[in-house]
Amino acid sequence: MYLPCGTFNESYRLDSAIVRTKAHVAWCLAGLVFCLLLLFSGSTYLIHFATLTAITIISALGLQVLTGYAGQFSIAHAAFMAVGAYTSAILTYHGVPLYLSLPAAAVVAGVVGLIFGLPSLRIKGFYLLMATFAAQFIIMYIITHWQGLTKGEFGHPAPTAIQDERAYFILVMVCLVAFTIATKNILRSKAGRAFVAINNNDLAAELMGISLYRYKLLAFFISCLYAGFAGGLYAHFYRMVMPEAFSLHSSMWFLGYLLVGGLGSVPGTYFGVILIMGLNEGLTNGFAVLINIYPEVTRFLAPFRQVVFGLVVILFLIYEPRGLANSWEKLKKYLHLWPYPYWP
Amino acid sequence: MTQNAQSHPSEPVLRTRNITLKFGAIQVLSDISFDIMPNEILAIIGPNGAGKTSVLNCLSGFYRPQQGSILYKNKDLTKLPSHRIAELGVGRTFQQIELFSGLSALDNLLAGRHIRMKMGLLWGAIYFGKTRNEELKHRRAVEEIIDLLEMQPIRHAHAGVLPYGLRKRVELGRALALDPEVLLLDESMAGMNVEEKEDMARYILDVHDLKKIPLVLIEHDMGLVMDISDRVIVLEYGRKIAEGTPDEVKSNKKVIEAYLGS
Repeated sequence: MYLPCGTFNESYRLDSAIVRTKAHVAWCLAGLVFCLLLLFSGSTYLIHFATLTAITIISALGLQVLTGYAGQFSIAHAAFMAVGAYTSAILTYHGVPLYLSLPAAAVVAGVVGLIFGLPSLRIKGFYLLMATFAAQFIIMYIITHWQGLTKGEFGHPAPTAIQDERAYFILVMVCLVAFTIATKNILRSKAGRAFVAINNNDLAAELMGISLYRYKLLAFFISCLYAGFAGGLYAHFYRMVMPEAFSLHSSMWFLGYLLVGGLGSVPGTYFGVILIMGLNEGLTNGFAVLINIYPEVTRFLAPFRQVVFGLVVILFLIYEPRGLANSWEKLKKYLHLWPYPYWP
Repeated sequence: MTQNAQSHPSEPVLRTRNITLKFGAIQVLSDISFDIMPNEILAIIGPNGAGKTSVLNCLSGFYRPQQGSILYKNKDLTKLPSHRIAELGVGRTFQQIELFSGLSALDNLLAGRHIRMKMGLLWGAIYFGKTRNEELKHRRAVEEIIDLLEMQPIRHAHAGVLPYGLRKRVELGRALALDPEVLLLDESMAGMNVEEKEDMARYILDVHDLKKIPLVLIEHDMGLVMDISDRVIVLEYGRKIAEGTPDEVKSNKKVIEAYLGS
């Protein structure tokens, strides 16, 4: 446990505070300044990308609670997002305002998550992953085939009163901050410790009075609550929901974000999503530029974009299985004694 | 906490009656009956494979005996799920350490405090206000256990990286955090050197003096058992072969046979 010079724990309240050191305050301010700079830069592209990243982080935080904290794997996270997206889209389409439709989307997705979380009471690990695999297909099948409600493959309009991109960016950022704080708070209160206890040692957790039944389902509920809310934000961001946005591919990438970022870590979630989405965006832009200069070679290389992603994940699993969050911790330890060399 | 124990000093806290446990054709426990009296240290001893840990597993609801009953607070523990038994105040430690290795020692203790906390998930997510007050209250209670077991330096260390002796201590602390009314200790001193054992024995006696709760302990070190326990139960091949004060048990013929062979 490292504390920088001048920071003392004088009370239990300080010891459990989230924003504790000057560095924490500086990071919060930096985030705020970054958002303001984005807003005043006036670049629609950047704001667009930042909004999308923030929505993805909200959803990934949900999976972090389920997989990182409680240790229950789910490969249907995008499908739960779809439930939220369609709920919010359909509700707003029938005249419900956004501030009601988003929480409704979260709750509906949460309840659906509860149903598909039921297998977790019997099976764990790899087997649970396969069970949630079924959830992905069942949910997406229902969405594409229930045409009366969802308008099928052509997508459902998701009207919103917020037309300005910058206003929507602010809304998403406020939500992101709220969900980040909530995720941090869960870990320092009763339910979060119960989640980690189940993850580490379900047998001992049960004998310590933690009801596995209750807390596993609660983890699924809260995780899908995040996903549903993020799904709603996603729908209104594009003002349209299409089923293919929530494919198995994107569900897998949610697990990828956590693996690259670090399981069980909130900053890790940020790192993972920003790295992967940034890489994706960078490569897309890079190829877009290259294709004008070397059309032949680029056309040949374009499919290798996926290879780069595969490689990133594999390299992370080999060299930093605990994710960027762990690298960050190591860096902090290193800087702690800087400039005196010491590599733990 | 110990009201029950004080109001009826001679009434057993927990009655185990005719417990029989089988795994398929293997008879693990046959017809075990014993009482746990208030404020006593009860030792369960016996050769390896005698069924000592199985008895504790029955008490904490991890095994379901085919026959018999375990009466505690007018409830039959054999029919309750494990977490309900913990809620009734039965705390325990494990032979193989079963800590939450991803949590710090402090959080392990706080996780042990689970059943005494009220604020649920949504209040926890909001945290500020009520939940924080509750957390701080329990933090204070947990810090007392940390003081008692002298764990101050390892408070924030991850439980998984602690040395063996300290992990055993954290586990005892976690069981204590539950505010148990009966504490089951499964080989708390296995694999320790003499000094560590003496420390552990001291902690156990401190806990006993302070909490005034019955302790059930499984232990292999006979010298220690005879020193600190009030009553001893001897198991062999799943049967109870003797019960009594350490002196009675020491001179019991069957016990000597079980340990030394006939």
